[in-house]
Amino acid sequence: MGRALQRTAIYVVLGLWLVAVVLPLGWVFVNSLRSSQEFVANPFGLPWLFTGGPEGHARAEAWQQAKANYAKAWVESHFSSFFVNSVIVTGCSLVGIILISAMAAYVLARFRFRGGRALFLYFISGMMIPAQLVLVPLFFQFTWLSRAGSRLLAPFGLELRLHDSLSGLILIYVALSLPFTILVLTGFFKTLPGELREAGIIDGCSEYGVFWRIMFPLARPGIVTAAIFNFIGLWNEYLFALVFVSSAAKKTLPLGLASVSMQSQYKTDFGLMFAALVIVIIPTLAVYMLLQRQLTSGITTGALKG
Amino acid sequence: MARVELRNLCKVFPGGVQAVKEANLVIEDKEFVVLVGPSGCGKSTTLRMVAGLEEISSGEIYIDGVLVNDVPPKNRDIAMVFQNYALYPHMTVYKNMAFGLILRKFKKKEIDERVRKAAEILGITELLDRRPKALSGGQRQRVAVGRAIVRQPKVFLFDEPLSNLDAKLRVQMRAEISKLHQRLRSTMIYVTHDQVEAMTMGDRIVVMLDGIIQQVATPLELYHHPVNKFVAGFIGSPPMNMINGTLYAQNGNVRFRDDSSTIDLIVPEGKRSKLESHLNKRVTIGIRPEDLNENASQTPKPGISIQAPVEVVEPMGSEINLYIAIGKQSATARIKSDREPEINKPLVLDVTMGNVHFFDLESELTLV
Repeated sequence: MGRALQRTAIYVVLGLWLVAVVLPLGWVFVNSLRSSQEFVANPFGLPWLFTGGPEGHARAEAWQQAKANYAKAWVESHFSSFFVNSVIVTGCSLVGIILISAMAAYVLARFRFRGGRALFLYFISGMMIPAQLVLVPLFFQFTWLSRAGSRLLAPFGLELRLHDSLSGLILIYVALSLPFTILVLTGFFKTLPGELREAGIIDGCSEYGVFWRIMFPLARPGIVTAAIFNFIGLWNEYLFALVFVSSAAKKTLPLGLASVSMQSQYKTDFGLMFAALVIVIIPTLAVYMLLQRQLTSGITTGALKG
Repeated sequence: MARVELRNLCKVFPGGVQAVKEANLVIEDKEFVVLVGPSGCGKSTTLRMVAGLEEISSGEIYIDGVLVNDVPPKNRDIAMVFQNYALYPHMTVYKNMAFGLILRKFKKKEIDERVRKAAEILGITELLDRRPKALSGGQRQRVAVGRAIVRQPKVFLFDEPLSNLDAKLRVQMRAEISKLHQRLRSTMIYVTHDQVEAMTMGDRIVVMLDGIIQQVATPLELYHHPVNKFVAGFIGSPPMNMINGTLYAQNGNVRFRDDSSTIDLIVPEGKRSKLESHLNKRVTIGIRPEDLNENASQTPKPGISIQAPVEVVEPMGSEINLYIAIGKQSATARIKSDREPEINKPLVLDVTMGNVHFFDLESELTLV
């Protein structure tokens, strides 16, 4: 009896949680199908696309409106270009973060060497510094670095541009994400059995071989976890993008969203805004759904004795 | 040809713990040598130094006459079976076994042949497509052995490979590894803490204690002629009974009386000369449980029999293990008998005096 009650209570809480998460998402999606006029008339109602509007408002017309919202966001508001920029920045950053963190974490977790502990603490201490605090110094550092780098590269007809460039942004994202990712992955690599390294070495692997052929594949659950967390953070990152990117062609999705909402101070287009929001949200959901299956741990079972 | 030679091998761990001290050992080609000793005796460390997994503090290791101190493990042409199997969980059994060959850039056909042949020898052909987590402990152990044999290395190293298996499987795998050795005819070095494994498998056994090699000998040599008290007590199950007492001369005989005066034995003539220097000194005698036999008529023979109360009776089926009290000490006897002796009643046992060992009390070295 007590157990049944407990279960019911758990499901009630989980149900409420589900509603709290799904409702706003659904609401955003539904409103992305409506015109501003329709939204203002009944912000929480079902869209005319489903119900048919008042005074025989044609469903076909509502469908046109829905498509128009997305077309406007994608083309007129340049979300196509923001989207591509976001994919490049987030993708490249993720690859960089995972590569560097995984290699660093493996060594920090598995090898004992002079200064190893200090190095680990140095990495981790990065988490204690609020990102906002480094914003201004970093800006000037980039100015200096760009100037120095360009001078070096000038003979080759090249120039180093860290401001207002996707590569500059990627650099920042990678650096800021390392502490957390290294912490997570170090913990994960520690759980992998050390005998596998020795078995690999006797089988003929170099230390790199052990890492790439044995340890990295085995760390997949940890790496996926780290990747999802970083993806969500970077995909939605606004502050650094705002400060370091100025030209429209380099803007990422969060900046695009901000400009749409800024415009709406003068003329509100709710349909457009919600459509833009959906464009930003969908990749996050997709990535999560694709990768969450990989999160299941226990991949190392079977390495050592039961 | 793979002769392994250790010369003055030492291992000092950071922090100053000396795990292996001046180990000298020659393992001949095709020999099956077992390193045995209690945990912490340095046997695994020695093996790991041969494998190249542990740095050598000082001394030299030769494989096939080549100094391998600075040769990385992959170039030593060795294969190792780990206590925990250490199978790669993300690879199938086939890939686990093939991995070393793939890294050495063998041709696909050759890899396939070798893996299938090894799988056949070990009876794991039907498991080749499975992942390690879908295997039982015994099957995993076979895969680990298979991974070693596909490489056809000069030397096989086994680091307590059977200690995670249950008793029955252990006995079975023990025989299989012995068979494998006869079949492959390659040099094998096997580490275990289990003296039964050592006795049953090894051509020669290396007994280690505290990082020092105590004795290197064939199983029967170790059993009959241990060099010191430790080896004598370590080899044999149940272990040898060690009883302290004094040697004294009486009526032209050399006799041994234990500290509690429960037993008084006549030293056989053959052993006498070597014990004369210890007359009227304290010594330890070692009597194996199987050298204590029930006296059929229960009439003590002077100088040969012991009379002691029985404390515990353990019927094993073919024989009976008895725990008897000699003074304050407990001793074990292993007798052939159809009826169980009564507990707390004195029992007369005859000692096979020819098999009794004498040790110096201080140095613990064998006197005779």
